[in-house]
Amino acid sequence: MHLKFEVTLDDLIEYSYYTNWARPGKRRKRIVYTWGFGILLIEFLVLRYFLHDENIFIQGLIAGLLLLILVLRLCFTRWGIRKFYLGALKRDPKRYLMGDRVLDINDTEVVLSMQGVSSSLNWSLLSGLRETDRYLYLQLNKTQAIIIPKRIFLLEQELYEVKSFIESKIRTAS
Amino acid sequence: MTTLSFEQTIEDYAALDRYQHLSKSQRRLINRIELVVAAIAIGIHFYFRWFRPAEPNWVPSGEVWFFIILSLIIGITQLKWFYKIRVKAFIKNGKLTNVTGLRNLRLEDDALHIQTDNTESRITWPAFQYLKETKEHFFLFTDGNQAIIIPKRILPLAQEFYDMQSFLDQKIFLKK
Repeated sequence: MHLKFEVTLDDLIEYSYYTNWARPGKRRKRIVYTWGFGILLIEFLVLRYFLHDENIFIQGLIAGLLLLILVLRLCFTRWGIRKFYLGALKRDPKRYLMGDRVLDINDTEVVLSMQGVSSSLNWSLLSGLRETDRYLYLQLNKTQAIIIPKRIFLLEQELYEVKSFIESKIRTAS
Repeated sequence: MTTLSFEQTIEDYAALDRYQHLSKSQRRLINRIELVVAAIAIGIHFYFRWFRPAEPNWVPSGEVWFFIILSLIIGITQLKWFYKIRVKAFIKNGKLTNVTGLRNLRLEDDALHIQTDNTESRITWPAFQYLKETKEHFFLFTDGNQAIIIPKRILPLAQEFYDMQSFLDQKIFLKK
């Protein structure tokens, strides 16, 4: 199978969002960053207004933690990730490898070619295939993957064939 | 054409991780934020110690510990063994794969070939973004996150080392 596509900044941002926040393995992080903020806020309000606790250190610490959780939460939204990527690209325009990619998938290996780099990977190196609404992620490990945008498949049948082939090869290799 | 064969160790990858963590501009921003937080903690500490000694109730007992823990968090990121433990943990929980093991490097006039147990890559010299030389390694960066590591220990002779250094200097932009 021969797939040719372009990886854009949006694709990288979406992958970063998925791998740092949205993927199933990040459930605990999502709970802490979302509910942690609420729990600390309630604790802060109870201490400050109901118990009239004047301990400035505890209140300061809780206020600091509130702020930290809020900042961390914002860092992992698409907005936060986009800001991060744009900032990094402004400092170093060659920071991320974007552009045209060719992916050759055959019985023995996966060959990825892009801008002067050509890598062939044995199937045994690939840990799984993950799917979102817009992408297939051919996972090398929990954080690294080959991004395949679904927009390159014009027919549902093509997508299904690629998915089944990759899944069968990974299953066999593992 | 030069061929190099070596075992890439956790220490080698930890050295790359440390370089990336401490040198990248976004990392420097995080370090700066950490330093500002630590400075605030120091400020709180001395404010209560020096200017409010008459009000011991205002001096929180935990604030000294807060400062010590912050300093440790900042200081620990400078240490080599922190990155070794970090890389080991990443490997253990599946966030990193194929970072250790045998590497066969073939340096040709137009490209670098690298072969591991599971992969084979060919990278043309213009595809490298920059070269970074540290005390113990050469890091050949293909983008901001990924690099080929050449440990200097595999070049024991001075002549070999200088030949490699000048060859890489010719091929890749050296980042000071």
